[in-house]
Amino acid sequence: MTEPRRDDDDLRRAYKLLRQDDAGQIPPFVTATKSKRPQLRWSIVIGATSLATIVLGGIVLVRAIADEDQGVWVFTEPREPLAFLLERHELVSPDLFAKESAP
Amino acid sequence: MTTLPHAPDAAALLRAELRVLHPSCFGWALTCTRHDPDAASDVLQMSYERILEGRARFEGRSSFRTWVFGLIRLVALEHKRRRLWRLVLGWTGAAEPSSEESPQEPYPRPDSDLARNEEADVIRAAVLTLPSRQREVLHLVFYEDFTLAQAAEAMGVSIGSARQHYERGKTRLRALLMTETK
Repeated sequence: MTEPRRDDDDLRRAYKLLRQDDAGQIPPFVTATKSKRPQLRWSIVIGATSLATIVLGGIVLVRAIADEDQGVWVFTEPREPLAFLLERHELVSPDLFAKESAP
Repeated sequence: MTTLPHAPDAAALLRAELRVLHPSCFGWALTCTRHDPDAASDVLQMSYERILEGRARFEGRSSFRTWVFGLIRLVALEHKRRRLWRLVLGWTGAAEPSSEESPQEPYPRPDSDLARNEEADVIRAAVLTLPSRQREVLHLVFYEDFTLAQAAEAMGVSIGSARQHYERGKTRLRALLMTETK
């Protein structure tokens, strides 16, 4: 059976010194619930705002590129969404991209 | 763990018991946080909150002190993990020094007996080089006068494992202290 023994007095003395040293650093005993709650609340607010922004952004984007008559567009080329949006809002000539992609 | 309403008397009793244990708890929290007084203070605060709000419940399977020490150890591990995540995510926003109860210089070390402080620093430096399990078991046995069975319970390991860490820790710490004093 290994239990603390008398010949461990050197270590016991060392730890007693540590204990005395720590005694000068003991913070006041505080049990008021103050610590992490504000931080947690802010994390929730920031997380919820980010999520809402992503969801709303997605909805706006889908609505912007959706063609009411033909349903949602499915883009196969990376530049298609931009071209579609620019054309739809009449920011560029409708045949600009057609000309570019013509052989 | 479910939260049940606490009787005001029970809360007052718990608070009184924690107040008595507070110095020991702080020493243990220091060991669990690699001697970081700020982290130790946070860990204690979180542990006390859990106990007083009933989120951690003492069920009498061990002594109250052993149970509190086990809880502090778990909270310290969570605290460490959270800190690591903050580092990984690059979020270094530390908790604000929140209350008026926190002094500007939180834990001033008494200037008296500098020689003793220096010796304690040497011992602490040696202790901090030990693996965490060895550090923990030696602290519980020599600092807190726990038996190995109580230490094993607070650490959440078997008594055989605690004994092994205890023996290895002693040998290693002695060797380190011998090197330091030479």
